[in-house]
Amino acid sequence: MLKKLSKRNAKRQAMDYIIYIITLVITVVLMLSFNMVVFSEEISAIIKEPSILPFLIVVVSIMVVFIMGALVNHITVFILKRRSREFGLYMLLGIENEDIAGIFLRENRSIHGFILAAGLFLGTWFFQAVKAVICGMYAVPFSFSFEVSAGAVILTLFYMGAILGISSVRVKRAVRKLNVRELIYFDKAASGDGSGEAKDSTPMALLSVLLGIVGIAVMVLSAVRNLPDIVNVLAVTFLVVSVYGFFVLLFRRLLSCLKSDEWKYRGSRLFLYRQLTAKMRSMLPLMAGASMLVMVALLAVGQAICFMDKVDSRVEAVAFDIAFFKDEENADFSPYLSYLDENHELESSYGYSLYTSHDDTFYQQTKNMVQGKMGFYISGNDEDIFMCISDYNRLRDMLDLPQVQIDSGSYVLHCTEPGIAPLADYIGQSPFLIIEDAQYRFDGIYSEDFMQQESKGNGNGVLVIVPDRALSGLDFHTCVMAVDTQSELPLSEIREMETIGSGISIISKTGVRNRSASMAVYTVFPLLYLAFVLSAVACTILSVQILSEAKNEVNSYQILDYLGVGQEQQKKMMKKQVALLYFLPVLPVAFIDILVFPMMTGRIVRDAGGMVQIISVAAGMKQIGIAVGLFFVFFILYYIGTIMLYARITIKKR
Amino acid sequence: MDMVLSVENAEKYYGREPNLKKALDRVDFEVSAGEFVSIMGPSGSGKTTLLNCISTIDTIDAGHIYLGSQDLASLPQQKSARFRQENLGFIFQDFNLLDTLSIEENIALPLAIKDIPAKEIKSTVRSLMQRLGIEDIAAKFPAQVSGGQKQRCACARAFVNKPRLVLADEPTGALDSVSARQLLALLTELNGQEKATVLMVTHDPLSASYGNRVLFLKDGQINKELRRVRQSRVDFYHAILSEVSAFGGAGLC
Repeated sequence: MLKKLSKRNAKRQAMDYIIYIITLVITVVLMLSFNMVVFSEEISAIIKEPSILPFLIVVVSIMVVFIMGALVNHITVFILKRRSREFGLYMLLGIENEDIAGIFLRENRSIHGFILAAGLFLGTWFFQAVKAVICGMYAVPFSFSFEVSAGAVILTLFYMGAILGISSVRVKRAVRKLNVRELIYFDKAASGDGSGEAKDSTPMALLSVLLGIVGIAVMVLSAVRNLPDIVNVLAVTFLVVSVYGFFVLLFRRLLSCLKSDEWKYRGSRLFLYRQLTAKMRSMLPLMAGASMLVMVALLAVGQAICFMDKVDSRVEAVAFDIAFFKDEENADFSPYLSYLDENHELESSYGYSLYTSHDDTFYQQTKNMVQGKMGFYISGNDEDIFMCISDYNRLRDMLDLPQVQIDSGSYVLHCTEPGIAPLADYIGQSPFLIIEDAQYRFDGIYSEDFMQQESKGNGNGVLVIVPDRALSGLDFHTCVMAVDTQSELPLSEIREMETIGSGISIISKTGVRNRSASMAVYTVFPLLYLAFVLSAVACTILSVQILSEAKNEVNSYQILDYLGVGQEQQKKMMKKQVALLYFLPVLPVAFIDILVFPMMTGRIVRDAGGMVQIISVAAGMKQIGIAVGLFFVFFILYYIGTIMLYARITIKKR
Repeated sequence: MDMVLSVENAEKYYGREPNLKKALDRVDFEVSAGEFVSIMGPSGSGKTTLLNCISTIDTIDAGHIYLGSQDLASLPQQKSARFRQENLGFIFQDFNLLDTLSIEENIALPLAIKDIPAKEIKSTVRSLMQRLGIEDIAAKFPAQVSGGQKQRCACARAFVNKPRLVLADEPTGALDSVSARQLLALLTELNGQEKATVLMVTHDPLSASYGNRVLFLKDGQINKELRRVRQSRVDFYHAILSEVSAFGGAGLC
């Protein structure tokens, strides 16, 4: 009998908490597919190098276990509260606490069983999408091959066991302790009417808003002054806390608006905003919590996208397919060229030398500017590097760039884009370059991709191009062989070439792609994993809370019906109401994120070490646009699901 | 006197053959402007069905219901909400106030929905609350006031729009005897002073005695009609009681 009851209740619950169930399925899907990344031999073969990715995924999975554990616990207690009357009735009928806990847990077990089965099935398919993204990042062709890893499945079951098991134990204990009176009056005590006066939380709200302002100020200062990372972490914490203040102040503002007759007696405003404030009173911590989760998620998505974007742009910046460097005059690169020739890869090559004045005037202009604004630096040499115009034009020819003409008394600069402004400023003050008593006039600045962003290259961010005769006044720096190949070389060939000789540095698009992709994969996947889970948790909390209140609102809409508000208008009001509750948490986040993201992006580029691409504020805004877009799609799907269920409960059921 | 409501041979069926149930069986009556009419009948006699059909929440299967010149049977569904907004007021047994709105706001809601200017809403609601003696609880919420005060609020909300017909469904059902008498006295007062037409469904003879006329409904048919003509309310009450006894007594309650 009790088993039958559990089965029927599980079916009924499944419909009531469908969004919560979907979130748990998504969590299992993400867990399994990321665990499969760790266990997949195919992925290991693509990444090749010893990877910290498994470690990072395990760390994020443990975070997810805690986050989801808290969600499951929250929702389970919530369901228990809502069904307290029913359980109280079972007790009145003489069913033991132990048996009631059994009914509840059996129901949950059936639902959890379904969640695990669905999640594991979908996860194996979702893994193919993850694999496709990794292949794309490493420029490896993707082939569909279905695989199931026992290790990944066991690890996923272990995590989910931890999430669901802990909650079950807590519920069992809680139900054992309950008595009939508590259960029968549980929902009454918990629901309230939302009509009492709110506690005066203005000082706390003002304090948290103040923290927000301090947080933003610190972020700005940090970008300008290059403050330590710990200060940034503190600033982000301030911003997260400040979200709570936003909601308290908004709530109080709405209450004060509702005191004005002119404001509230306008169409459906009275009904809509009184409903909103009544809900906000009980949902305030939840909305703030959801908002904080959204904020962290959005930052994570933004950074992940930023890293993905960097892989291609960094590879493009290498310009030549492969280049060999040796700190020795007239270095012999013929073994390498022969190797490429034997492998039918060689298309064109050009050998040249780089020179130095042992001065660092130009380099310092770029470095100072970049470090000041974005905390950017380039490891490697810190001297000004020179090249003669004939070599420069040959190299431009290899890259299909137009030729540059200078007369015997001029020089030009070639730099990365962020260097243009500081160099132009400097040249405005000192337009002449002096090499061995000869004076050269500035004649232009170029910024195409020219291998200037790696540890070896045509200068660190800036290269000075002078007439050929000026080289006599400079010292030799490096001998370089730039090569274009018929196609991008496989990593294995690069590895083989590294064993040919000693003292040679090799910079190649393949090598850079591999290093960047590894770095991006390490960063992107754990961040996206975390972001999706956080977003799903935030959406679920909001949806479950909104839908649980929907049943109480059937009566409110029924009253509106009697008062002559048509079904269409009711639907509009309902949509507005749910949208307000759903999207309010996104509002402060969007504002803070737009301010914070470009600055955070700048720091990440520096912290990534080898990823020495500067992202301007505009680029940062583009990244956040994509991040917000991605996030919005995710959020809107949950919103649509919620509004459909809400309409089903409040309007269609009448 | 102007006819406000005219029900002509209204029929309503529920279910399908062979379990077809006739909820209203050729119901036929009229209500004139300013009348206070009660409908009595045992459970399942069709009282609520009749009220729902008059209130445009439900529709009849045969016959006509006219509110003024409007035949409710031909009123399109999409126009029924506006029709209710402009012509009807409701009082329910369980008050049906919105818990999230204050007492004053609950009364103001029908006017706000009609986009009446805020100043006008304020003065109308204030004067009505004063007349009903609930101005001191204006800022309170339904959960903070007594059942009697809630029903006064519901009463004010029903009359604030000056509707052509106020429909009351067991308005004293959830009240103690003192509050019930106060509410009925108030309804009578509003009926007299505002010339508001009231149609009340009740199973309570005392409540029915406050009206001018009682219609007895049994098995979906108007079975009997009592009019109060130069009678005191107490005499009318006794007349209703006698009729109820003859009608089957306890079945009413």
